Amino acid sequence: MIKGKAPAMVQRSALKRRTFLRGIGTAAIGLPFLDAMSPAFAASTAPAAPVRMAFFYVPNGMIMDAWDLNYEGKFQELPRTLKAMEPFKDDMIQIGNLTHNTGRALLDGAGDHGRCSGSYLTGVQVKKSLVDIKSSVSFDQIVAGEIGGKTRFPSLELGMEDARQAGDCDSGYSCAYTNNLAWKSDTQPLPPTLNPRALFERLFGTGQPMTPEQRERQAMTRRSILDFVMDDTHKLESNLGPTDRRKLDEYLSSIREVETQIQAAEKDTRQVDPGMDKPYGIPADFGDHFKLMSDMIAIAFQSDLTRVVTFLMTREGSLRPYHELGIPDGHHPLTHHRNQPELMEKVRRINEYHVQQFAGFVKKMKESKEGDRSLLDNSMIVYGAGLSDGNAHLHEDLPTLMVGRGGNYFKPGRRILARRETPMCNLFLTMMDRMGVNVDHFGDSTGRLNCLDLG
Amino acid sequence: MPQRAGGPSPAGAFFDTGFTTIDSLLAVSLLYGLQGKSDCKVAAIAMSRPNLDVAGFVDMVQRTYHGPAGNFAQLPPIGVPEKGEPGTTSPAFVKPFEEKQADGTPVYKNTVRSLVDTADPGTLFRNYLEAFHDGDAFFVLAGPATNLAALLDMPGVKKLIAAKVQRLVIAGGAFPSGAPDPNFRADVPAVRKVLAEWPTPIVAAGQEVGAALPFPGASIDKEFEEAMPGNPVARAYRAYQAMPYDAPSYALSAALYAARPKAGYFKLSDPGKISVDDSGRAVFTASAEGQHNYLIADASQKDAITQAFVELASAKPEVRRFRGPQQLQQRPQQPQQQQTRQRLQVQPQAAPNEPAVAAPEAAAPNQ
Amino acid sequence: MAAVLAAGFIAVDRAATPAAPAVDTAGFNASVKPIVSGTCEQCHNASIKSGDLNLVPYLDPATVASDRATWELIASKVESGEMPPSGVARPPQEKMTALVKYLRGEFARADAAVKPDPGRVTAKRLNRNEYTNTIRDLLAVDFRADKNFPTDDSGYGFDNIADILTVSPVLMEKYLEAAETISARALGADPLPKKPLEQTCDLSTKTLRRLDYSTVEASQRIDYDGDYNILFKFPGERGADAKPVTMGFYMDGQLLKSMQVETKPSNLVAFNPQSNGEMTVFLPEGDHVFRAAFLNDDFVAQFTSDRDAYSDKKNKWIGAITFVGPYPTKVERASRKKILICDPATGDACVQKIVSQFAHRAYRRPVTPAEVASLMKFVAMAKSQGQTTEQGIQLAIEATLVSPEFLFRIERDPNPTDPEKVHRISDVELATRLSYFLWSSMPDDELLSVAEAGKLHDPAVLSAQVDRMMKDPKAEAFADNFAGQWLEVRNLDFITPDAKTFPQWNAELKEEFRTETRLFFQYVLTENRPITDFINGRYTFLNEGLAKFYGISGVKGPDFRKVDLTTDERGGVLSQGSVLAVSSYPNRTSPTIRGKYILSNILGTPPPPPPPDVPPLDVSKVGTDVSLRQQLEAHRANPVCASCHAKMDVLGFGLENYNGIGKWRTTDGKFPIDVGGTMPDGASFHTAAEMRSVLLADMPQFAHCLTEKLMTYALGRGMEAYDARAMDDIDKALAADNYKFQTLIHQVVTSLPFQSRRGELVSNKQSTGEKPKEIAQR
Repeated sequence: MIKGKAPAMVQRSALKRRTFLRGIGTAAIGLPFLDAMSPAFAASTAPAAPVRMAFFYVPNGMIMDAWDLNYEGKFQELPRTLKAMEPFKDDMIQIGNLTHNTGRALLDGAGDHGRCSGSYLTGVQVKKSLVDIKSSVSFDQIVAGEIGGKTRFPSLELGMEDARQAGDCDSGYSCAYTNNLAWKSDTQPLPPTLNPRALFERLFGTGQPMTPEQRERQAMTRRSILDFVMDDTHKLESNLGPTDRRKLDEYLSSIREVETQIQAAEKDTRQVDPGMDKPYGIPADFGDHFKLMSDMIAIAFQSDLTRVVTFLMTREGSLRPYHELGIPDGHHPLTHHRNQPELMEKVRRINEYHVQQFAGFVKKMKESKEGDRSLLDNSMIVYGAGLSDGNAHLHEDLPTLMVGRGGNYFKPGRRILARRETPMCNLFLTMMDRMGVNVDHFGDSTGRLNCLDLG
Repeated sequence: MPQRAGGPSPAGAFFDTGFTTIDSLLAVSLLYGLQGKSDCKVAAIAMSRPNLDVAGFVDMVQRTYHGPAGNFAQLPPIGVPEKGEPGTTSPAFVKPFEEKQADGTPVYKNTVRSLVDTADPGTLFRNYLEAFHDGDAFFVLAGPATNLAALLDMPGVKKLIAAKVQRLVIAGGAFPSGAPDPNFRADVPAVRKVLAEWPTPIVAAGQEVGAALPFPGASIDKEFEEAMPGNPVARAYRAYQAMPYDAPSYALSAALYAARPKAGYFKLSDPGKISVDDSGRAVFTASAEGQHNYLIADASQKDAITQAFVELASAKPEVRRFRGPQQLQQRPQQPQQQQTRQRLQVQPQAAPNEPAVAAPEAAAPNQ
Repeated sequence: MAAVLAAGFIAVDRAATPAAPAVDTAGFNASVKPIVSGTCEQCHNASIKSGDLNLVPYLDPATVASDRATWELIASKVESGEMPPSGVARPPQEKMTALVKYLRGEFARADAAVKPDPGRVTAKRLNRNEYTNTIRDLLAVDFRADKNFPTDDSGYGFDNIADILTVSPVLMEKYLEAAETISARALGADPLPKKPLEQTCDLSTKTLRRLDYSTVEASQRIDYDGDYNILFKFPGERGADAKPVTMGFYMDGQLLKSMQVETKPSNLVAFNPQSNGEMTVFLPEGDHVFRAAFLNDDFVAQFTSDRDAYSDKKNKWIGAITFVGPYPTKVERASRKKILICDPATGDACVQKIVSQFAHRAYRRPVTPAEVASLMKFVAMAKSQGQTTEQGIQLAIEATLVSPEFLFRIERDPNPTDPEKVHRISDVELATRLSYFLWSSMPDDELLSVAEAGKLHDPAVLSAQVDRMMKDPKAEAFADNFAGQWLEVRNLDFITPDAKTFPQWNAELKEEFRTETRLFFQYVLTENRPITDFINGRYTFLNEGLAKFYGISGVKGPDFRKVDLTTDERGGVLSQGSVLAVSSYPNRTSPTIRGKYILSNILGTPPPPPPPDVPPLDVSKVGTDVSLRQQLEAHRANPVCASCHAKMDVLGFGLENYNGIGKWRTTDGKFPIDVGGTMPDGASFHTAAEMRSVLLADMPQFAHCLTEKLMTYALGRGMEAYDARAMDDIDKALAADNYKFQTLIHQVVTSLPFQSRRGELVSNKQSTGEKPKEIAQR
């Protein structure tokens, strides 16, 4: 848990009424990042090229024999699952032995899938409950809360698999824990955007250009409407029970978030050219869907629309079959392979396939130039899973791949091993440092992960 | 909710030692013997000096007792500090690795190649402590207090210890008064910090106790061999010094008391406060509200204790296995729960790895 | 209590209940303790915790009162004979009976002493379906919230559970955007583009997907409400004697229009024969899935390879769909009629009337002059910006649609923090509960006016309204949302049966499955049939396609109609394709999942999570060396597994005659299907039909399960210990009236929890998430 000021507080204090809502939903004549942004940054203390961070989460663990290496140090032959990353060997670090103790049962019995997903970015053991959900602010949201004001969107939550609505997603854990990675508060998960079109319109506008007058009018309207509902809510809140009030507080804090976004949009009136057509709906093919989403992440990073992204590729317990690979069985049932070779092979192929998609995104990041560096050099892209062995539900030695140099800070091209039982949260602390957010403790961290740079 | 219901379950044993004397290794066997009787559950073992040879040996011993780390039963690493003096390595920890099988392959394999195959002691203790119910764990310290002092400095951990730990038993000092303790002298600030800040009662097993209860070395070739031929601990005992010899039982006594405090093996001093002077000498000051006691060897119990030493330390490890119906039926019906628990010779798994969704057919997945 | 048990123990807010009478310790020590410590504890102890249950702490009599949920579970497991499992030495039956008798007695005593407690429902935001329907009824605008808003989280298997319906910034953004588009569309204020746009979806660019030889599908965004010309290309031609086919054109599963398509050679072109078709339809703004299909196209049955099927000499198919539009639609917008109840041009009085009438309906209650005044500000604002009055009204509507009064259903408490103070909810609040229960939408004018006249709490009036609402077409939402989630039919959209294993699976079949179950449910409701029909109704609803699939002859045409079942093959929901498909793996059946389905959704006793170290089950051998059944039976030789699987698998195997998508079969791989089984309580069966009879024999249990699901859905909260009484009363009344479904609805509506609420115990709800007995390092 973060010490000192809570992120929610940060936003409240940053909240200014009477904001002007220009910029939201505008479209398209583009400029590359540096030139466009330098004025916007004149005031701020941020470096010319900021550091971006993203998490790409894959569920149900991996077949570790195809992921792990039996050596430390410089990469030689890459393991099978990572083959597609060969071209980016020198841009990545494979980190071994990181552990999420809070994903373990401890005293809560069955439910490792629900738990590991819930604790992955929050570093706490989530409450085992179907409706009375209780987690903690995820570290990406702490970062978003601190530096989010500098970009149009404090953070983006993306995904590719529609949320499960079963209610019980794993032995008594609410689906809220597996449907979402990012948590804005103890009780407020941030649902991922799945539809490429929705993401496109959020980032780049509806495509119908607006005249300055139209924009101004829309701004005034929205502003007065937000004022109106705020007053309404405050009137309502009097004389309510605590739970009812909590619901309205979620509503209020969401309105405030929209307002702060609008403030950012006001500072940054650029019109970003996505350089791609507006997508229609959700492609059936996994690869097509992933490409659309990840292309937009790269564009959002390059044009500094946001610096924090969490991407839930599919969720824990995912039953998705991979017809793309001729695999009709659901992913989760397959991972309980009980060491049957043919089942394990299918899982390996799914693991490989996921990484192949990811490699496409890394390529795009590496090809985007930013000054004399690549966008990738200025990023920390973590590709990881909340379980190592999905069959045994192990929470140690979590598969973790750090791609990019975090602003020429990391020394990539190698595999490093943390000591066993080292909390994943130690990595989070180090990443928060790189993002310019200093907290002394997060989740169950025991210190920073210091071996990423020249260590 | 049911799985949260507390109630009597085998208490978690946390053992921290320098492994400088052979009895600290016997204490590991003893704790596993107690685990076989469901009197404790060996949670985590750490050593107080960065000696990878010794760590590798203890790790191997633990693997031997724990059995194969199958599904949902992962083997905790050995806790090893990064700083400090590695110190000497007794042949006890080296010789057994030299033993070869008929085909020339080594009998035991050392899998600790570097520090990364071990864990930071503080993190290890903290992580595994989380997995026990309140008041359901105990610590045994038989070495410098360096690790425990560091543990106390971790955020939130004092609160954790206060809630989960019954007591800390320290093998060390001499009571009511005596010579300085080398382990105390090794890190006086640490032992002082622990005595001052450790949030649970502390019981000291002074050197005089261990000295009064020598471990019967003859059992190494008898009970040990019968129960488990080639037990690495027995091999180590032989290699430690020329046989026959009876090792003093500093750590053994501490561990036995810690796991069976009510068994009446020892007398307990009046409450008081233990302090340590610069030379490493322990000083006990009686006071009614003191949180510290020390053990008093009880001659009448000597045989019972040494018998327990041998029976428990030599016991064959109970490897956890899934029970078929027969085993259930064979069991006689006995009402009292105490006996019920002892009757079920099921080795509790490593708690942090309980399974959830099992084989899809064997248990309906959440669809 | 099933939901509660399934969840493990949900902290029960016993705030409003005085201390229960002391537990009869003597009786406990006599009839409970010996069995628990002697038999149960062998597996349910601290180190094994079978079913995640450690009974050691439950040797304390006090727990009978303090942890009722667990003891309820124990009682039911022992009563049903599931516990102790076979393989464990079993105490004499009279001892087991005594144990159950003692527990039930204690529960009864406790309940008798407890003051009735209605519980309370948290302020509930509209979920996506409710939002969609409410916009439809409020403004006659077709807005698909499920296409625009993030998925709602759900609890207890329903997506209308107040506590877990959260608001996120992304959702807030969506609410703002939705309010803008909806208000604009409602008044037709958004101008259509000068020139109509043209969008083509065809096979070559993969913008058109082939579902089968006669069916294509396209995801297409429609940017404006309006009329569209739909142009079809039909490549190829069939034999000279080929009959014309009917092509259906669907949007989001709804048939929009159908047309005849000539398939025999036109003799106009020698090369690449192709014909065209055209139709005009009104399409609402939004992301839609369009489907065009040659209906009952037997001609393609002959094709075994794509090569033939797509050879323009051998076949004719749908090759491209082009959308041309929008054109201004002839029909005057219903939405304008709904809003403009007078002519705004006549002056402020009318505008005032329009705004207040709209807010009144949007807030589902009378509005205060102050509220109207604050909305009128928007009209003024628009004017000040030189906009029209109508644009001002549009703004006021926009604001209303993001107000918490519209987005949330909030019920007022005179004493919000005093759990002792129970009060009947107001008639207006009751009207809203009622309409969202049966319609998933806002109250209509009649319901609201009855409520505002203060008549709704009158039992006769209430009963009349409920009858009226159940007959209303809007009650289809009840089938979609309640039955859709209770029977998991919604999951039809998420399952992906393997095309190789199940060639018959296609989008049509999926929709037919959905329709069958929905119509069946609606029939049981509207015809006030006994709920026994759900288990073994001797009829169902079929069209030609589905009848063929079921092997039932004599049903012609695409329209569904009630069909009496003459054989024993099918009967009730458990034999409907929808249920059978959602309870299978993509490529095979799973008796375990189906068994779990029945335990959870029919018997209301969901199985607990599996114990540690479940031994492997080698499914790879299934169908080759040994049958799945032999496999699972071997598995059940182990008592720890048997405890759950004995019942689960037996029930699941009862459905093995239906394959992974519900088609009747008699062999699985090379093994003949063996359906027979014996339940833990001794009842046995040999066919699916006999199994249904076994289920029927335990009507009270099914009735209670359905009652609990209905209460959960109706209230939007989980059932707690203090609801036991209300549910028991409902069960009794239901049984007394031969399990008539409408009786059940009426009983739920008149139950204490539905009609009343109480204050909230503050301390209790500020749950920290910390474990009750453990401190966690947070």
